[in-house]
Amino acid sequence: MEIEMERALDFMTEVAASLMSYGSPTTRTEIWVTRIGQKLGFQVDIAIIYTVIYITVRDKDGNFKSITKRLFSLPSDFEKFMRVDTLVKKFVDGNIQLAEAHIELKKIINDQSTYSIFLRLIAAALTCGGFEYVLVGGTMSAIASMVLGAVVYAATNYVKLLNNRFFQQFTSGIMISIGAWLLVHLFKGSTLSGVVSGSIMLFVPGLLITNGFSEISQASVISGTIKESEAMALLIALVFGIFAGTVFVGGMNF
Amino acid sequence: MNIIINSIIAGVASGSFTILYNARFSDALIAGAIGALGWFVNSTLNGYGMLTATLISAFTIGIVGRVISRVRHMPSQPLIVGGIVVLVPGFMAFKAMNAFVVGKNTEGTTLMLNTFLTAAAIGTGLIVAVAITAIIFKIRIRR
Repeated sequence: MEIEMERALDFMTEVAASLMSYGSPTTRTEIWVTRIGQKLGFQVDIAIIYTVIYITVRDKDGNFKSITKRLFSLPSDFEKFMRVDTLVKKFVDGNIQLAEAHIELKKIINDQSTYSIFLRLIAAALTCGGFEYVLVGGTMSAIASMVLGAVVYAATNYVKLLNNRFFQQFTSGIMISIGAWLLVHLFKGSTLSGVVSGSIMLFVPGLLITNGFSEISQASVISGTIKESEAMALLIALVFGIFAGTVFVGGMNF
Repeated sequence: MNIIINSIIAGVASGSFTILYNARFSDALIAGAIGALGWFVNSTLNGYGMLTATLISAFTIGIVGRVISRVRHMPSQPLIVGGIVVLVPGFMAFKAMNAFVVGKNTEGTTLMLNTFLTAAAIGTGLIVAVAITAIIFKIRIRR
C-alpha cells in the first residue's frame, strides 16, 4: 500500500509541476491533481503557491504522505500543457493505467520539439509591430519595432548570459532604448516612443498582472498576490533598464 | 474601416504572441481570430468608457474561447491567453512606472490605478464568462 501511495504521489507531483511549468492556471492544476488522487482511492490535500507545490495524500486507514516541490522556472509551453492535460483526462476517465501514464508524462516532459528560431523571431517581430500599430500608431515605428523586438527577443532568449529574469528584463530595457535610438535615425518617420512602446510588449508582464488578479478573485489569494508583486518587480527592472540605456545614449552625445 | 484593419493587425499580434508560447499553429490561428474579435469589440465600445469596453471584450473573449475549447476538447487557456493579450494593460503599466521614475508621481498614480482597474476588468470579464459557460455546459450535460 505504501509503495502504491508513493507511486501515486510521485505521479501527482510530476503532473502538478509540469502543468504549472507549462502555463496551467493554479485552480485547474489543483482540480486535476485532486481527481488523480481520488481515481487512485486517496484523499488529496493540495496547495499551490506559485512556484511551490504542497501535496498530501491520505488512504482509507489514515496513513498519509506529504511532498513539497519547488519549481525554479515557469517557461510556459502551451503545446506540452495541452498534451499533459489530455493525458490526465485520459487517466481520470480510466483509459490509461498509472504506470503507462507516468511513462507518457516523462515522454512529454523530455520532448524538445518546438518552433524553429526563424519562425519564433518572425512571431516576435509581428507581435511587436502589431502592438505598436494598434496601441500607438505609425507604420514606420511599427516596422522599426518589428526589427528591434526580434533582435532583443533573440538576444534575451538565445544568448542567456545569466539565468536571472530581473537581469534579463534590465538588459532588455537597455537594448531597447539604445536600439530604438539607433533605429529612429534609420527609419525616417518613426518616433522614439513608438519604437520603444512596440518593442517592450514582449517583456511587459501585463499577462502576469491580469492572471494575478484572476487568481486573487478565484480564492488563490497568495499565489495571485505573488504574481502581482513579481510583475511589478519585472516592470521596474525593465523601466530602469530603459532609463540606463537612455542615459548611455545621452552621454555618448551622438 | 480603420477599426477592421486594426482588429486584423491585433489578431496577427495575438496569434504571433501565442506562437512564442509554443502553441500549435491551428490554436494560434484561433487565438488570433479571438484577439481580433476582442479588439473589435473593445474599439467599438470605447465610447462607453475604457473599463466598460475592456470588461465586455474580455467577457466576449472568455465566452468564445471557452465554447471553442469545448468543441475542440482542449483547455481554454491557450486560446484565452492569446486572445486577451491585446487587452492587457502592459503598455499602460510601463507608462505608469515611467512616470514614477521621472518624478511625475500624480500622473504615475493615475496610470497605475487605471492599469489595475483594467486588469480587474479583464479578470472579472473572464471569470464571469467562465462561470456562465460552466453553468450552461452543466445544464446541457444533465439533459
